[in-house]
Amino acid sequence: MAEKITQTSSNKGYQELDEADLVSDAKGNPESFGKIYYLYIQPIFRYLYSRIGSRPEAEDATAQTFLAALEGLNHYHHKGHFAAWLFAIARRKAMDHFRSLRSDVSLENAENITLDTEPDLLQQVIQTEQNSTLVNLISTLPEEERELIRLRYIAELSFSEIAQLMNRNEDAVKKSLYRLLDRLQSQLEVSHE
Amino acid sequence: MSNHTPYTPLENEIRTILDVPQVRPEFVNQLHTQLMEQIQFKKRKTFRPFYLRPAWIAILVFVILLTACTLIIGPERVYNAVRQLFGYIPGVGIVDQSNPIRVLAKPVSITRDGISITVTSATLTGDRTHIDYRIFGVPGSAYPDREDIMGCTQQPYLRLPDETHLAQMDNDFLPVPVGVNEAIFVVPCIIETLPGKVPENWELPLRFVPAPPDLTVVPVIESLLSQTPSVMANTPSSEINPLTITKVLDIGDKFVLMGEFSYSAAQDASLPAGSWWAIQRVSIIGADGREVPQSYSNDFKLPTPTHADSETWLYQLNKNFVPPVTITYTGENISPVGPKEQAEFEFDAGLNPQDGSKWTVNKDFKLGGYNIRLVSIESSARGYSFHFKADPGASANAISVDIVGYSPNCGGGGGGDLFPEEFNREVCYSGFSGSPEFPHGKLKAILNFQALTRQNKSFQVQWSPDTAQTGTFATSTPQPRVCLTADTLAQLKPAPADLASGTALMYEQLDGTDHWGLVLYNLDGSGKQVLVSDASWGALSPDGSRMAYPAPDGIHVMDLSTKAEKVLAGANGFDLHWSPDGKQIAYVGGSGSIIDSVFVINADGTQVRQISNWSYEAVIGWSPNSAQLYFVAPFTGGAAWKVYSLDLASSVLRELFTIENGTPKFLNAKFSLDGNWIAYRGRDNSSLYLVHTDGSDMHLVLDNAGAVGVEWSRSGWLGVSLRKTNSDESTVVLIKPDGCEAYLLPPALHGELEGLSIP
Repeated sequence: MAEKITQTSSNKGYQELDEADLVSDAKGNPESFGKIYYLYIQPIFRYLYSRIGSRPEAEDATAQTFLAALEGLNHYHHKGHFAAWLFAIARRKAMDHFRSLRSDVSLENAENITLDTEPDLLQQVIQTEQNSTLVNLISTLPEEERELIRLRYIAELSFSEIAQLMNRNEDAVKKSLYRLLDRLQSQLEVSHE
Repeated sequence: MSNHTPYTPLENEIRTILDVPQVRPEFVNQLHTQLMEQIQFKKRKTFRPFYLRPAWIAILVFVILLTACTLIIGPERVYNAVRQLFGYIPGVGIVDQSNPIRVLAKPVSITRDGISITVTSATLTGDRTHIDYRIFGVPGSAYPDREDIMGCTQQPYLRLPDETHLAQMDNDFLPVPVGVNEAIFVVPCIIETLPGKVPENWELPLRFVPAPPDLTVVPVIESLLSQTPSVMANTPSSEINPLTITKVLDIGDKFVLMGEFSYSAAQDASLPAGSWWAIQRVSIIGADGREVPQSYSNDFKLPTPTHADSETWLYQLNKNFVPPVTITYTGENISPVGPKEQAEFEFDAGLNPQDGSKWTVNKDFKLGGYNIRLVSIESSARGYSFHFKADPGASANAISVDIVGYSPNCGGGGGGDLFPEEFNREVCYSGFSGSPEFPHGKLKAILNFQALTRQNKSFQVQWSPDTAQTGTFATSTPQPRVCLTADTLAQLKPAPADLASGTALMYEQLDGTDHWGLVLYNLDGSGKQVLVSDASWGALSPDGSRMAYPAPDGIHVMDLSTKAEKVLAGANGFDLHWSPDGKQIAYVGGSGSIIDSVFVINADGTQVRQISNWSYEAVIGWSPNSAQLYFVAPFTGGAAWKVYSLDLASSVLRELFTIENGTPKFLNAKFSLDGNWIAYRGRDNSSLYLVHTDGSDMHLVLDNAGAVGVEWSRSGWLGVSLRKTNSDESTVVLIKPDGCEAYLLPPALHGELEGLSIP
């Protein structure tokens, strides 16, 4: 590797902030909310897309999430769990999305809800990767375990953040995920025998 | 969103197959514009609408009248008169007592197809109707297994004799008019279940009667704050204390303190431009220097801030403190100082940087007067992590890395301890490694340094109850039969030498690795043995000679003397419990649509037997003669747990009692090996309770002590690992619950307790 070192200085007042600083800064200085926005727009959108499976709907839910976060920022009490707070809003927005669908569809037609939108992400994967045992295994997991996978591998949250978001202790989340991975690994091995 | 452990190949495969599209840049810009416009709009709104629940509005009006009456007829007469108007009912909240309070005449329950709905209590006041109900027995298969299919969303309602429907508002229903003493509690469908899977259109007839004289209705007195709280801001330049108390309610054994913290007031004119305030800690200390115990309930809601730059707070203080109390907000004012400095360097990431590639750099920089060495760079699927070593204090400043030509979509914080001499700076990108948006090839990077000054500040406000109320105070009197509190933990003595022959199985992070595993210790902290890495839910056999743990190929049983392992193939689950005779192991596993139900397997690997067929059950333990298995099943919503026993020979299932005050999250109920007690975690996720198997003599034994791991020894010791605040580590204690004999185990035992054997 080649390194070329030059040293410069500037009088720009801009500083790089960590998350706690960003949140505090945004409370006193709302324009700083933009920094939080850029930090989280990608994982929030990806998480919502993974739940909703439709780009326009996921964008709408993403916008609602950040608008709600902006509105509620002063109520947020920073204890190192900002991501959990923000993702809790995103989860509610995803639920609101499904509820709004639900209110327009009678119970008898529940299975047809997805016809007007792109199918669920997991369902898409199933359709395109029929031969993938792992995909099929994941698709049969209960919702709580699939949510764990979304939060960990799509939203890229830490165990601490997932624990805060799911109201569980961090150790229990780790155990749940490791248990789940163990089970998936085991099932994969069985299927490959 | 840092602090990730490395991914395994399986995890990487999961991430790959679940890949989702990136957000469109046009959308990002459009939403950013919309947010900025919203911010400008908010700035123009000086005051927010003032929103209060009806009872609070009534209280507000009442306080104004009270002030006037106090001036006219004197405080004592006013005090006595107003005690009758507003009341606090635990579990319900503040209620209007202007109308007589009514309650449910008797619980009502209906069972259909094995599912029961029970209305256990109701409280009818002038401003609302509070209904407590439970649903039990809903099979897991009744719920959708895809998140794009919604189950039932129709809320229950009350139907009055004149066909009026009273809807649910917040958690309560609209008030039942005075004189109407009957209603039908209608559940159109069980929330979230799929149509046709379980019975629908439930109707439970309710009858209401006047509240009995012994109904707990605590008079609510709002303090007039006649004593202005003492302002104790320790920063002389602060003209206004940002910390204020706005309301105090006396609700019998507790005070509810509400207030605001103003960020703009915290950042006063004496501070440099561009500085910001960060709260680090809030403490509430009594005059005796002790932390004031708090209660946590959902009976009160945070008040609405009066200013856009304020946040509100609410603390429920148990009255066993020594007044006055001092509330302290401790934090830092952080200010940039001097110019931003930058250093440039290059590195070649190659055309296709792989997840986990690492480059050793060892390049030195001098920035802000600090020696900073870039030790190495590591790539991940999302970006790069730059590992630094620096002079002490360097990382207290803002240090970041940019890669020229690429716009990061995350970055910043290094995580971990405050200001370590070794730290990472991570930066990630919208594209994954391999995509054109991901930085690759020969890269030019900028190391940014901005010196910061940090000024510790604290703001305090002090408050004392009115003189007339101070007689109700005690000085930290412990509750009877509580063996340990967070306060008394430090006073525990080390375990005596005769307990050292016991062993404890701990689940802990293995030294120097990111892996967790099962580790065996002698109770004096000696004899550490890492039994298995990447495993959890270990269980020691009652005689301490074997350990069982779940693995992908089944439950493993390890002989602890030889370390030889036997695999009980076909037993996939967790939450393992040995029978006292060591011949069987109960565990929680799945079967088809059943999620987390109870199974039993013989310890020799023969005969797997399914014990329950609901979902989300947990094992409590075995009767001393190994004939009965005890387990719990949650109500829908997880608000309470039913305790069952199953006689394995006759298959007779008995419903024993309901745990009402356990945590819905991780109950961790454990049966003592003498069959006398069930220990379980309380609703606060921190306390521990004991109860007999018939539901009698339920009492608190560890109060708010951080209880997580719970294990009994054959000799009657209760071992509990107590999670330290804001830490992965725990302290382990041993308790004899009947006499509260208690000891602290050595710090070497710092994980979660998963097994205990004391001869």
